[in-house]
Amino acid sequence: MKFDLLNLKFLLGALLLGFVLFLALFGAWLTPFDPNRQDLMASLLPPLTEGHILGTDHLGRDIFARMISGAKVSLAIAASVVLISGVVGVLVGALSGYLRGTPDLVTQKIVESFWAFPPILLAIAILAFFGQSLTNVILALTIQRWIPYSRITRAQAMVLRSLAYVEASKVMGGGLAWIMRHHILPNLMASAIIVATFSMATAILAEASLSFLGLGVPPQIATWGGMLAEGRSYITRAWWIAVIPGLGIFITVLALNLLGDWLRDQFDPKKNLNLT
Amino acid sequence: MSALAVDRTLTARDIRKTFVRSNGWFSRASETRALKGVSFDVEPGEIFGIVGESGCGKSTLARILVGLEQADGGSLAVGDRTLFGPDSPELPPVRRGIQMVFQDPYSSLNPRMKVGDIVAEGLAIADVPRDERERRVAETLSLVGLSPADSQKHAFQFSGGQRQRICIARALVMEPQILVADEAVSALDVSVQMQILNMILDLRDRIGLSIIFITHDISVVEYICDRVMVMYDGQVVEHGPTQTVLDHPSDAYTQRLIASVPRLE
Amino acid sequence: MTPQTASAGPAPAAAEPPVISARNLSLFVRDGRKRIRIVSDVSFDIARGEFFALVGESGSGKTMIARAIMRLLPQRMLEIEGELSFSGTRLTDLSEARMRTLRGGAISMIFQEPMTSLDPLMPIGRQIEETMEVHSDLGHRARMERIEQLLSDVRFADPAKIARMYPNELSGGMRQRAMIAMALANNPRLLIADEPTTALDVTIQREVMEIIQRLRERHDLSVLFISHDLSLVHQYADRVGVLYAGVLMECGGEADVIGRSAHPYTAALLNCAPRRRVNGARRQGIPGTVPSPLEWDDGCRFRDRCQFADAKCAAAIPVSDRAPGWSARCVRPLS
Repeated sequence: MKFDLLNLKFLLGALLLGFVLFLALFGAWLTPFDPNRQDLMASLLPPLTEGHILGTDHLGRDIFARMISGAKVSLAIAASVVLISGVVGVLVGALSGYLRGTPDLVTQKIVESFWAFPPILLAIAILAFFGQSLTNVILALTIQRWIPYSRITRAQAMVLRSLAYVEASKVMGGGLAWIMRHHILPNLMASAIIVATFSMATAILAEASLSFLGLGVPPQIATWGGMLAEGRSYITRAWWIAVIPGLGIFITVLALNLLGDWLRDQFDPKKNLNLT
Repeated sequence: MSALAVDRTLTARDIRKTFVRSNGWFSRASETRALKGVSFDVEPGEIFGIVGESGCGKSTLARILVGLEQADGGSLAVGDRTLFGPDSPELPPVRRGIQMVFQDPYSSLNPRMKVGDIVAEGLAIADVPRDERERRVAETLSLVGLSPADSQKHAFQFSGGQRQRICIARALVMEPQILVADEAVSALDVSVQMQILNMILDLRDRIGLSIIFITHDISVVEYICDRVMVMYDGQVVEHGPTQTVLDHPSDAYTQRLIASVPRLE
Repeated sequence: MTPQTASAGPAPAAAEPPVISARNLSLFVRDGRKRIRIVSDVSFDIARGEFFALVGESGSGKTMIARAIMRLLPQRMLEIEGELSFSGTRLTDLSEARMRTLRGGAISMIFQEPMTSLDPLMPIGRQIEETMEVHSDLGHRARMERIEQLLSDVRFADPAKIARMYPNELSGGMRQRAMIAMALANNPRLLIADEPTTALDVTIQREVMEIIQRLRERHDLSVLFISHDLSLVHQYADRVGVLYAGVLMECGGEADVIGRSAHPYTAALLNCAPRRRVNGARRQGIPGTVPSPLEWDDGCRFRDRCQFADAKCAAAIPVSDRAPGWSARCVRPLS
């Protein structure tokens, strides 16, 4: 499987994502400021004043420090959501597509019921009902996101189950667990990873939206969406409070989309046209 | 007949299979009677041909023999062991002592697995220890004309004919009593086909394997099968020693079939 | 290089150009930036009314030659070098618009898998009519009559009923017959048949071949028949070309090529055809595998698998005539 690494999409996407990850992981050492420390004397300072690289917000908190801590939270939430929804979605889809019959029928009905809800509405309902916390945000975001995985893996599993090597495995005594592990799941991984990359981008956006609406993690924890919301009222006086987190979201989502696109191109069967 | 020979005769009696397809809640389901009572015997060490055109039921029969489909009626036994029957539970595929080689050498091998793992799969499922697995794989690869070093390669590195050898090795490593070859050479070029047919003859001579060879190609039957059974519309219309059936067919359909085959001489 | 002449008697006074004439034909495909030769320096003729079979195993290039004649693939995917003419007109010189008037008109083609050549959403009659709309000036009534005539020519007992049916309602053999009807709708001079019976049962294959043969005789149609099945070719072909790894190893009348075989590959291939074993004797297969286009060189491409090969075979092999109209590309032809 040859990966075309000299591709612009890959280089740009990897660079941007790498940059964001670097800041999230090591950024704390790059700034002396505490993201939650308020200093009303130093409020609304524009970028590059008094050592505040990206300025301060209305409560005097350093924006750069908040961006870094917000990055950690956003990425962690998005990663957890993608991981949980991915695992659940791939397994459900693979089993459903492979077994067909009643398990498939029942699963599809469940999928359709979940899919009928507008995603944000469902998330809001859950958070309103169960309260806002980190775990509940992850739950609210995961509850529908496993479905795209299951759709794709189900379709692929349905094709794989009739391949001769799967039948041969059965004749040699292969049971459900064996066939899943050796023949079905490995062949689904490529699509699952592509879905995961795009899903990560939308998860970040979704979390930002929830925070923006005030329904995300508790307000004490810095998130990019929350910062956006707070900066809304100061847009004319201190544009940096809203624009900078907005830019952060933009860059991360762009990077993930580029990488997802690149991955999809790499696995595109048309790449290997054999005319002879 | 020695005790060993009696043990391994395959006896199939009155095998029936009907496929039902649902047409929704408001119409009657459609039924296709794929097998209408098929009976035959396969002697130990013989190459038994099943020949017929599309829709005759030979592939369904093959799948029933190895356990990929369940028959609706009839019985199957190898020696004194019943594989399925009216009063016996259905034996799972791996306990039947019957293995299968499929038609398409390209979809028969998992592209992600190494050849050694592909051939050893049945043994791995049965928890055979690694050293023994490797030894048996190496032996079987040599038996089919490949080298033990090939176990480290991937399927895409091999041609169609070599892939079929890998498939045959995979079936043989399970030490079956009977091998079912379902159109196993139909997708191969003529020159490669002959290599594989000769290899099958060798295997039969060397290890006494019984082979059920399913095909639509009468000239292949003529080359390799000791006895042959002609199927049409889910039934056996003629059977007997190959030369007899092909030279003096008594059934009208068989006669038409043989007359349609273009000949080189 | 001596042009191939039809083995059917002396040429008429006003020598008609052969329906197909290929001279030093080479075909290239593109793999990214690489240009790979898949057919090397092939020359053959097909005369009017002749059944010419192009025989080869996989990787021989036979299908690509058919595609090249029809120019089914654009220049950037399939490059044609050398001469390829249809009734005296160079096919490579024609514009795409001119090619389109030929396709389905003077040259038509039937494929191995009729289900992918027939539109599943249109009844058979309508599809035949469509090709007539493009290539002829017949009015609607005349077209409908012709459709019924065509379907009856391919042995449909109830042509009117078949014309109204959709492809998925027909069996494989019936679809292939419908395709033949469609291919003959505009009185072509050449019918290219690419493995048309490979996917069919042997009894249906016989029906289809008989239909092709009868229609060929009636309309003086030339047929380029591509196949891997030597027994089929033996039964129906007038002349045969044997392709191996992109090279035309032998070409001549069917009785010569298959009956007497000048080239070791032809003889080996014939030997491989399974038939009754006498006293348990085995037939010789051909050891080894076909070399891929990336491994081709100037010498004989069959030499690694040939039991007669020697040092001379490693150099470029010219075509040598065995008899008028029968040639082989071998320095050690069989006697």
